[in-house]
Amino acid sequence: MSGSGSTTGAGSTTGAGGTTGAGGTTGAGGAGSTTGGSGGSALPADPTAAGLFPVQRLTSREYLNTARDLLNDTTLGPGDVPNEADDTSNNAFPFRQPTPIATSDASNLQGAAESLAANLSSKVSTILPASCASPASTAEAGCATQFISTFAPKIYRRPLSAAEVTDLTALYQTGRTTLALTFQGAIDFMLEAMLQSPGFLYHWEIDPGPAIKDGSVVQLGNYQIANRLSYFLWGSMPDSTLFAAAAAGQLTTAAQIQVQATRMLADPKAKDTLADFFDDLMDVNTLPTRPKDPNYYPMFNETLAGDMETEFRNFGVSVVTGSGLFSDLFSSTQSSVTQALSAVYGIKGVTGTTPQATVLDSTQRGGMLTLAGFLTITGQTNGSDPVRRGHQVLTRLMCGQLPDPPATVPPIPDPTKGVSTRQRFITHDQNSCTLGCHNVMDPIGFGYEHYDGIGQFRSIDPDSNTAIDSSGSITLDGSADTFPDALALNKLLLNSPQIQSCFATQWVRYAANRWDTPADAASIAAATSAFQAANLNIRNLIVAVATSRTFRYRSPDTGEVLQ
Amino acid sequence: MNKDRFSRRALLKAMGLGAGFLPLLSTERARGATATGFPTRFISINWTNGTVPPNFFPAGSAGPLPATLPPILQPLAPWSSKVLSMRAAKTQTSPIDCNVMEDANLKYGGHFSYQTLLTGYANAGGPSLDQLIANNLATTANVTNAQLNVGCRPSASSTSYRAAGQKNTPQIDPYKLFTSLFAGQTMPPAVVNALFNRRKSVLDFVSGQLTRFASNLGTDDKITVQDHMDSIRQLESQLQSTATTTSPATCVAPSVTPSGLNFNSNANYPTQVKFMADLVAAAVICGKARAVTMDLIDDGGGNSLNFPWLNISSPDYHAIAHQGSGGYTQKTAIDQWFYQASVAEVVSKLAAAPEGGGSVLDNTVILVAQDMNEGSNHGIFSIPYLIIGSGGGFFKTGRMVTFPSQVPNNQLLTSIAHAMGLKVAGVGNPKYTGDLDSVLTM
Repeated sequence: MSGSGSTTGAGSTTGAGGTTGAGGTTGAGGAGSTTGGSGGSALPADPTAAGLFPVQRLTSREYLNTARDLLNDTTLGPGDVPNEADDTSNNAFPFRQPTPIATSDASNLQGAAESLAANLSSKVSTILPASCASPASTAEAGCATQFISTFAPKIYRRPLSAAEVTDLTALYQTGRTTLALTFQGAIDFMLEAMLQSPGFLYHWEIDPGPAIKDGSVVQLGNYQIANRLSYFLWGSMPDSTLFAAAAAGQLTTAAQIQVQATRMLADPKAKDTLADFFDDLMDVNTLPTRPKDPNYYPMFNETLAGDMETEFRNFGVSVVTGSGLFSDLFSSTQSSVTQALSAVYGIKGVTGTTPQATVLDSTQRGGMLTLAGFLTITGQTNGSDPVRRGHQVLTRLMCGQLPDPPATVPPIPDPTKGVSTRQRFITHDQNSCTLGCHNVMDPIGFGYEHYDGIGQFRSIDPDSNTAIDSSGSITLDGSADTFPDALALNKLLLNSPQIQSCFATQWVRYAANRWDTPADAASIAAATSAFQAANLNIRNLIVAVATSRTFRYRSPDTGEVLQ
Repeated sequence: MNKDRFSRRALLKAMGLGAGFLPLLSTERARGATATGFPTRFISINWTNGTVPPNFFPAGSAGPLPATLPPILQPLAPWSSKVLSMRAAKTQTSPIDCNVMEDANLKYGGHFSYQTLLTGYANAGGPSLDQLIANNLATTANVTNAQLNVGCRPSASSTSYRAAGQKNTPQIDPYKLFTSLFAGQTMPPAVVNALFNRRKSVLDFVSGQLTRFASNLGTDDKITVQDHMDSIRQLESQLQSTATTTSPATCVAPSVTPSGLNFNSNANYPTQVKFMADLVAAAVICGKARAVTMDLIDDGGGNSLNFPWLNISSPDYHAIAHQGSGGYTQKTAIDQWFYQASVAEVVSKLAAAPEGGGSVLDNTVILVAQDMNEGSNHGIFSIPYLIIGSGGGFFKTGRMVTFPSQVPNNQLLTSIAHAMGLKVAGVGNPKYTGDLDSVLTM
């Protein structure tokens, strides 16, 4: 493993939540959380730096949420808009990345916009005065202007430029005259076009007026902050309170942003974001595409997979919105299961398909890494998989990097009667060309040997018919530790500054939806410090990320013309 | 596609006028037409995790194909006269080098090579062959909607790149693909015209907004927006062609029922592959696509894909491929299924569509390949490429050839480019120029 570069926060002071921003100055070692393959920087992190803000389109989730909040329309599904895949360029940044808009994406966006515009007809009274529902011919132009001046800024999530107003007015005329649409039809037509325009599709909600430079970085304007906060914490467009704050210039200081972030985090809309974070972080969102061998797991089907994902999502949400404590992520036994899922946990008495609040057996379970969802996506089709489980802990929670696999990788032997899973993998690991990776991953993954390929607890290895050996070892914060089982491993993880720092790093990556760079290092260190100073409360961490330097400022892209 | 898709020469020929009356049109192949004037098409079908060499490559070295094809190729038995099997000289016992699949680093060998299959570059350092063919048709024959990229998994894998590192995202939803290809066929002309005019106005507006949007952006962001603009232009071209294309009599929209299937579910994967294969074949027959890629599966490890319909539920696909000879039985069955479900499905449809004195298949080159030799060695040598269809008589099929030495895959791509009328000295990394015309065409 290299590049874990843990940041302990030693010597760091943070202004997160203060009035002048999160410009934490870091002490020795404070820059180490850049895991982007470089293994961390030896230079102290620059507290005035901020990362890039690349132009990104709305993700499928953001598009659908925005359609819901903008148009009160929930008729579209994930298959109707461009989707995105996990970033596969590395193993440690799992969050889904919007790709550039390919022709098939543009075609989907066209279909989605046409569908949403067609649905607008019945709702025009909700966005225009009653007099514009069926205006006299002399009033039509005025109503169209009103649509452009009041509703278009909501679609673009910022004030429109004069040129944009001119373009839209011309577009209305094209619809009403050239295409001979009705007044209503021309309004739909404008919406259809705007929903395919960069103003709607991209996160680039620049304020009117000149850019505010601060050394080599640029401060995000009020509308940009409103949108960044909103898409970070809600996965959707700003509400009226945020728009009003942006219009009043009240999203400028860290204190102002802290007020909004705290309010938004308490809003029910934040739950979906919390769930999305944990779902993405541990890849549990891939459950629907992970089949199992019915000869081994006859009860496993799509419904059960869905129940597992729901449980995992709900678990993360309830920890953050409940105690908020990081330690609960690795120790809580409070969960909610359906009847089908209760069978995996060996719980009796749960009926129905609605999740029921449940306390899991604390001698077998504790925290998200012992939930069926995680254990299933990291399990084989026909058994456990110490490699995948260790790999997931290493890359997602420790922010560790692995060297590339060698060109020739021998297979892991198939299950054999008389040979335990552990023995099979140890044999595989003795091969010299796999030793470099597996002596890091497998000793962690062995900790989960009590759980089979769908997360059922077991005491006996089904192949060797011997008692499970779930002991293993892990190197955290530079020192090696051993543990007898997953529950003991949990304790090591939750107390490790490296795991805490990595968790903060993952939140910064999620908020920016990009890989972190050295320019983010001071912000990550500051957020980590705020997290640790707040008794490891995840809500404080999220607010610290939202008020961090790298969230409020950006480095201009090469070649960019600042306005 | 423009209205002169079938050239005057082809029409005259179809009317029974002998070739002797016709001047030789040397420009026809350059415009993507066969010597008989019918359009040439290229279809690439790919999947991952290599093959089972003993069950894929025919025994022997060169000559006619054996009466019984190797097990993996048996689904192609009815069309074996259209098959061209190729084998490079180097075998597994030779040291691995980068002669066949140019790759800057071999650390991961045959998984990263997937993006080299059609580009001829390591790390997709340039456009793929389908893109080059589509570009050529656009500039020489005003055919602007030749390209079609489809996929069968909700993944990021694609063999098609429009430029270095810029992947053409495949369409993975058969229902949406059906709508974009065939929905217009069932609409009254007035409705099609109104839709055409409306969409054109919207796309023109969007194009203008994108231009303004891009003007102040930085270099990287401009590329993102440029991609979007290219897609909008492509959409406009497709719109235009939908409004003007006259489909040949052999054009029949395929069935994509039942509707509403969830293609995230592995259980629906065989249906998805069939839908996509039928849509690809119909798009080609109907003149709606001439440079097609079909990416069937993505499994570089850890995706737990299995094949319960073949009674192969574990281990997962990647693990089977890794097992070497221990996994041959299962991997052979899987590859045979891929050939049956996708390649033979497309081939049978094209072969059944008459064109000139033969079929659409005769004027097509189908290139099938996996990303590596076999999963247990991750080797990027002896890549299991296979050609079906002669591209209007360009390739000599019904046989197997053995290359005298290890050759870069670029040379195979270059020969296919020649079959499609591109006058190029090489495809992909310019380090590997040259072609295999002399071996493959005679």
